Amino acid sequence: MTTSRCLHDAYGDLLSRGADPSDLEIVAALDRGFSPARTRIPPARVFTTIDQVVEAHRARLRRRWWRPAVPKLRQPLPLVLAVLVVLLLAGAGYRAVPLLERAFDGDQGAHYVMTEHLATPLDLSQTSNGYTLTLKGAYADANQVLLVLTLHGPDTIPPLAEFSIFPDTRLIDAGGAAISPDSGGNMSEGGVASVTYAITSPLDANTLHLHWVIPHLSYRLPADSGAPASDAAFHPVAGPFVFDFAVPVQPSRVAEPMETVMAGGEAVTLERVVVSPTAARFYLRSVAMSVTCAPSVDGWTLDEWRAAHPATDTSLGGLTVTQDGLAICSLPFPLMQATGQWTLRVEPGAPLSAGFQGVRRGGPWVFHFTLPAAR
Amino acid sequence: MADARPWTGARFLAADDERALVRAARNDPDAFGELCRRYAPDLYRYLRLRVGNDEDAADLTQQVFVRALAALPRYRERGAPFGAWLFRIARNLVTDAYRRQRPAVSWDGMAEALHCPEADNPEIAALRREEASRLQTAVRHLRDDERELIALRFVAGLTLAEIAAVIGTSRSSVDRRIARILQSLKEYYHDH
Repeated sequence: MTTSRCLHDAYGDLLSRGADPSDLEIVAALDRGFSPARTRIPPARVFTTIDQVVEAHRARLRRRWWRPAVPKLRQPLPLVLAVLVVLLLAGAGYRAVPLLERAFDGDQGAHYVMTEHLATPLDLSQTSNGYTLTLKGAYADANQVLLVLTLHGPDTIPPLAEFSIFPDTRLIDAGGAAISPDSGGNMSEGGVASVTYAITSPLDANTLHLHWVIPHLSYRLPADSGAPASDAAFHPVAGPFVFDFAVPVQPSRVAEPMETVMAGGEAVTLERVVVSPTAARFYLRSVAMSVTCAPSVDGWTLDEWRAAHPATDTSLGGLTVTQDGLAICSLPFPLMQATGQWTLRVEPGAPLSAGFQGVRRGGPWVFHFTLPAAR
Repeated sequence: MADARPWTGARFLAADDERALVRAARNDPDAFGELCRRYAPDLYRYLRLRVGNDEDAADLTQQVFVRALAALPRYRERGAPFGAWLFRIARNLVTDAYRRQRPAVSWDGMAEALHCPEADNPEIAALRREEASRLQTAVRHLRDDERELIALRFVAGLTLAEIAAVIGTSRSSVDRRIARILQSLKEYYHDH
């Protein structure tokens, strides 16, 4: 890179203003001077990590048919994951509570909402092209919004097997802020499905006024159920289905420990804890890797909870990293009643894929805090 | 100013090619991997210059891709170009990694990264050494934010538009700042 022409080709954005020889000279000097830095070769482990990240991406796409592996946060709305919900229509119609209870057997937080009758009945229906989507009820706390819904097709088609709400749904609060989808919901023998949206910003309102838009959806028939869950197996229904409704926000327990723990040369700060009737979220700063969070309260541990509730789908929780680098550990358990000294143990998590060795280091980080009463 | 595509490193992406890969990346792991592989060398070189050692630079480069995968669903093609988005992740990672050690990551080692290329002719070699020495002096005179612009352009090989996206400012602002930096470098380069 010594000729003037080469320099102009490479640095046309810097040199096009004129042919001042001193411009050429300084650019050429910088180009030559940095050429050793510019030709450094990354070590092989960088490319090994890329291969592992690609495999993790592949695994995530395989999982997404039933729930997002990486929920979106603070974005208008996800392109990520199709929300897949199985609907097996009840022949004789909808019977509220018993069916709802069965609908959430695997999700203890949502199950708690239903058994404690914390959801607000709505029964709002929207029909488009012969398909009726009914918003049966809604629930909100400081961690999430839970929407319960059913879908009925025209009489000319057999009962639907399942349906998918496309990922460009929009749930917007009264202030115009979008609330991001968190989970695709649970299957139900009663033709009931649920969708959850994650609340990750402090919530002051006692009531949420929400605007929910589902531009389109798709469904599968029972005959399609044995087929692979590909786009081709779904039948599209054009919308939009639009719902405006209000839902009271259930009390939650919130603490802001702002405690920093150094372990293994890495410092992590526990900024915020939100324990609601449906979930617990732990907000961690400076987490640069996959981690797992295990809370305990006065010696009681999450393992005991799991042993007592073997049907609980623990994979509903997970780690989300926001754009500003805040890592949010979510656990779908109703821990509202736990009293005493809390301990949160944060450990480097499972590898993103088999053999992943990339960025695990530091930890475990152990935090101690108390939670105030619900408000 | 024309927005020339730099030639540096292994990355030379036809715009259409890159756009197709970026569009596919969210749902196609192989496309995402291809983009990562293309940008890995320049990211590593930028981070190497920034942190001053091979190990940390490799660690951080690995973390860029892990974090990029986690953030991929939030990436919007209409926002920063994909390469600039990766560099922004890298930049934030460095800031996070070093925040505990010092308030801001300096570019103190950048001048030392300037070397004269080998030359068979002894006279040319001597001239090059002299040139590198003067350049080091001139670069030491720059502020950290100015050194970063130089690194992004001459080491990472980003376009001025990409640099604007990385540091969160307008293209015209980058144009003006780079022009001022080059002017300043010229003055020091010739006066010392």
